[in-house]
Amino acid sequence: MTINKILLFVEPNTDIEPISQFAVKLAKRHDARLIALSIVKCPTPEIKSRSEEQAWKRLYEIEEDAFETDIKISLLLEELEPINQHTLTQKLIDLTFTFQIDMVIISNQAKINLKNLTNEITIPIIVVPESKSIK
Amino acid sequence: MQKISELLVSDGIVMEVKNNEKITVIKELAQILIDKNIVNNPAGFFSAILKRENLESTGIGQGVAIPHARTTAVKNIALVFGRSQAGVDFSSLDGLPSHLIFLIAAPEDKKTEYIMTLARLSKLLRNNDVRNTLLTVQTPQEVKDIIIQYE
Repeated sequence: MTINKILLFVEPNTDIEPISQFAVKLAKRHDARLIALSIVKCPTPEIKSRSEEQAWKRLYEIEEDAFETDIKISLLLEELEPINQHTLTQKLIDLTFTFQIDMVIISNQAKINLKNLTNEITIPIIVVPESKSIK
Repeated sequence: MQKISELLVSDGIVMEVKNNEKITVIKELAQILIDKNIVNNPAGFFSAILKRENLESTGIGQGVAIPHARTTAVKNIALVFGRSQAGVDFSSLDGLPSHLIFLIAAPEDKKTEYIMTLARLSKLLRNNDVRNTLLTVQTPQEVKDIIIQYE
């Protein structure tokens, strides 16, 4: 199976270092493009503004990891209003089709309905524990 | 941390870029930094920024691109802005050409400030009012005023 595009979903307020390093190494192994995605909730303009800055910060941190490893990367920030587990999962499903993703990487802390996700998409989904690392 | 408006170099706002292709637009904007002696090693700077462009799509969507590099070729974070009415292809995921182009140069040892600058600028440019106004204002001072107003 050829893996050309890997979608890495990160939540803005979590520690992304382990999952970022995992995704970068996996993308390197497959010579794949990494698409780093964050989705912000925007119940109020103030929260939206804070969340967006934090989300971009996380995405650019991943970009730095990718750059230092010579991995091709694109950053994607999406928003949802209102947000709940179903709409967040559906957004992730929709994006895998939009960008013809071959593999999804999410954290085990992500507020994603894994059952719905696995029912809707047939590509590999890797759920990374917060402390996971690969050699 | 310095504000975006403080990082914009004087005379670093181009109301209409002369070029319409990604690399030539980057060179046009980078030349401002070279002319002002902000970049002390032009070849090293171009090399760093072009390596980024080969690996990353610095078009972040919604008609915005932020080409950037962290390199020993500069001593302080600096920002220049160029506008293109026709739009430039920066390989954005949304497939749209970029009309608002901010080029960021940062020193190698300022990783945290560099990432924060990228994050703040990206957030600022997600604002529809900011983007729409930047597309229509007539003077560099108006560009700066909009950034000051919204950041």
